[in-house]
Amino acid sequence: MTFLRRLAKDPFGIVIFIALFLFIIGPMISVVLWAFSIQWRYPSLLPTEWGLKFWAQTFKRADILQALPLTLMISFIVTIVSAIICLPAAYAFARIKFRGSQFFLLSFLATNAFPRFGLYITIAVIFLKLNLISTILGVVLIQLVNTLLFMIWIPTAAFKGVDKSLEEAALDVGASRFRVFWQITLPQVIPAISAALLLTFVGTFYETQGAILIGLPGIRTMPVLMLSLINNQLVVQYGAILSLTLWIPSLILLLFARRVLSGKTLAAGFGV
Amino acid sequence: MEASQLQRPKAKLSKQAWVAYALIAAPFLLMVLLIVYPASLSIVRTLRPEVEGVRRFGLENYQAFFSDHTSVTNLIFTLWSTGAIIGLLFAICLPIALYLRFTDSWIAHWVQGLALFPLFVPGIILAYALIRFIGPNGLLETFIEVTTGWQGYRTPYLKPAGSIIGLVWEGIPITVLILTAGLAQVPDNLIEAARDVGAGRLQIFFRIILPLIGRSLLIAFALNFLGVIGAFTLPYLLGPAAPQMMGPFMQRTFYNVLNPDAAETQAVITFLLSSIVGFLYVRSAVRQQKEET
Amino acid sequence: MASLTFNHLNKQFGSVKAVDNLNFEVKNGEFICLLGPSGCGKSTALRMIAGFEEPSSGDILMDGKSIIALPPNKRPTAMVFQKYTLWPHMTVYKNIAFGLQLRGLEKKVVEDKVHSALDLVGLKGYEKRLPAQLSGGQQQRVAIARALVLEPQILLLDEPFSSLDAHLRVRLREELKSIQRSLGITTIFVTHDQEEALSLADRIAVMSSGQVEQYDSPDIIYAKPSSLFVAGFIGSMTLLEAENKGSELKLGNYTLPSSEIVKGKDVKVALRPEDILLADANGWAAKVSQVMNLGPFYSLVLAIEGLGSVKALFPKTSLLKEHDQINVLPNRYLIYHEDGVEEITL
Repeated sequence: MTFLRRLAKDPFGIVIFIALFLFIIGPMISVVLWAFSIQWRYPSLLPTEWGLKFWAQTFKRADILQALPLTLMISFIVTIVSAIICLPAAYAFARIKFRGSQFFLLSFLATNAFPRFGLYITIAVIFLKLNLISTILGVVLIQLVNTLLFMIWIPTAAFKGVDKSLEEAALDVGASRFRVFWQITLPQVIPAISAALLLTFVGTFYETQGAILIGLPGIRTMPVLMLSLINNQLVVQYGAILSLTLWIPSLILLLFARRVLSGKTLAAGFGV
Repeated sequence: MEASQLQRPKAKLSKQAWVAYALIAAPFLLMVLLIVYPASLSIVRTLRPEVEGVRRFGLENYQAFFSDHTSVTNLIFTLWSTGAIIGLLFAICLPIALYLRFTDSWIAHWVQGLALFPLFVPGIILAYALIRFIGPNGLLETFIEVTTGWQGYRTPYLKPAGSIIGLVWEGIPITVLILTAGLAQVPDNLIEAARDVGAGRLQIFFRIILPLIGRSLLIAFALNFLGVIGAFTLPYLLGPAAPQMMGPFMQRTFYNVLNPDAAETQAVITFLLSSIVGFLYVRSAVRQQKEET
Repeated sequence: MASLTFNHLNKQFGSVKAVDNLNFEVKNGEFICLLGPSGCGKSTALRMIAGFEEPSSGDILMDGKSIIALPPNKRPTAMVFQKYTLWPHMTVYKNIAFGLQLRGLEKKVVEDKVHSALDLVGLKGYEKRLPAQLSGGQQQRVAIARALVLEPQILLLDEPFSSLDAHLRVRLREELKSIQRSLGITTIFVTHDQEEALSLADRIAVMSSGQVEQYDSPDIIYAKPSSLFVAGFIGSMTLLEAENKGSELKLGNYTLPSSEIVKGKDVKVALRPEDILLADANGWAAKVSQVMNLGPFYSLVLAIEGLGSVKALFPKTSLLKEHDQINVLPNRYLIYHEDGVEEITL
């Protein structure tokens, strides 16, 4: 009774909730149902035969067994390289005063200021000449483009958020600069940096547009494989099972996001 | 003594500055090499077509694009879809953002969670899910038929509405995020003051709230515009084969037709189309940054 | 102009009683301060008058008629907020004109009213400025003009000067008081600053945990705070433990005359610093332990054996220094007991 009364207090909220639920979650439900079905004849509302038969088949496919480690490897390389080049830059932006720092920081907005696929086409034209099409290096480079803004802006905001007087107090009692960074600054920015790392990894893992343009035909990452499965595969379950499995990194990000990622951190990555 | 004290921090600063330049060099060069260089090179190259083995300045590439019926149709179709998507996104997300700003109930928390959820669903998975949901004999059609008995469902899959639905789905979270961030910066007092002098809901919305979130509206518009013009996966998988949106059209030109020059021209045209929007986005982000520091 | 009555007014946020059975009356044209520490419910009470909060129970009457069913935009009240008061995208002129335009007044009438409102707060010629181009004090003046231009029955102010610096605060206080006097508008002013309340109000309602502790003129509130809470909140007061010995009160080694009414009750004696006077050798022996220069006065802390520290206020002509030995006696004091307070003048 009290539950109903609480619901009645917010009628607009209920309308929005139901509409959003149908639109956002509806498609997801159909994937889950397909993944655990063996047969689903129209017009049955639920699968006509349930089972895990297709899971074993899916993970026996050679193309999938090949694409998964490749995609993981590319994502790791991109994340690590991006961290190595971007994190020191973020520290510099937050902590060192230098001429043009505003300009350089804002210049990374350029990654957001072009229509993405058009940009990839112009990169692909150059890569074509450099023989980088269909190579791991080519794919890694194009993925790096996507990571720069997140990897610089989120940590920069985090480093700026560390109270400078805490660092100065530690310097004052005789700690070296390196020690101050390691023991005072770093622990406070770790949540934001891990958020940026995770976003980079997951973003790269799922990136489709650059991978299809630069990677094919030699390099076939999971999303690209998925694309061809959707277009050419008659067994519906393969796509459903792959979708569910592929969604695992995102699920981890989602769980992590509830704790660490605030809307503000995310907004920082869009230059808002 | 005094002079040396004044000069010392200055000298120290410039030494530190060199360290800073060294630290930012790698990502900056990467950005220049992978974005600024290819983009500007393409603009220059498309303006210097190869005619009878010689490259020289000329508009042949663009003449070819605009005299080709398919290209022009695709361009118009892309703009039309973009307008529809942005219109739908604002129509959906503004009420949600306003609701979230002025309500603090547990339903509001769930609404927020739902609105941000698509952020964690990659485009490729979404495409597959939507095919199974709105596609022929999909869950939605089955559901409508089983519950109402109505058999007139027409699938939007592989039609213009297909890519529009997909891109709207994908655009909801950042739009809600940007609009709620903007609304959060409107203090309660300003709204209460307006109620106090006699303004009703609509007057408060149009005369107080909308002008105050102008920048958020602009950023949401710009990011969605750039996102839709530069989209590939969803229009490729959900949209029609003809007319095509620019993303799949460019990919087909580059990969299937094997005509990089034409693809490059198409890319540059998308740049020009969105150059004003891109500029407005960068400018307002720059202003935001400056105000915060 | 109107009178205002609170009738058993309550406001509950969850399990917290923000306003607890408020009952008092504001007369037509009166300037009332709601004074109390943060969280005492004074702002909530004000926001209920304006209509931004709904009472949990009870009533608010304006000229004898209930107003709680009216939404804020239908109430004849106008409010001045503490900060973020002006709409930043509108010029000073538009800020003030907004409410008039909503009422569909003619352009010329709006213009005249805005100009005379700006004139009233001394900001003639600032029409075209944006809020960001004004100082904090000017912004609050515009906020007051915006409230007054609608000719409300009651003017409400929620700590309007608390984010300004001390000097400006005093000036705006004086200006507000003279505007209020010239218009004769019923005004309710919320503040946590006792000096502000004492200097502005015709009557002060001192509030604590949602209730009114005392509702009196500033003179009475200062001279005879009805409870220890009010005594502690208003001005400076030394509280001394006392033993009740029939007709006398024993304070350490000294005695003071008592009152019939407090016989047999636990008591505390309260002394205002200015009521401590220099005395002959029969007075309390005191050592000056601290001297603070307040301009026209010295504020002293006296150490009195068996009594502890007592604050006193002496004119500069007394020429006292730290460590001086003097004798003092109070010429007036308050005796607090469980049922109230007694004032004794010697």
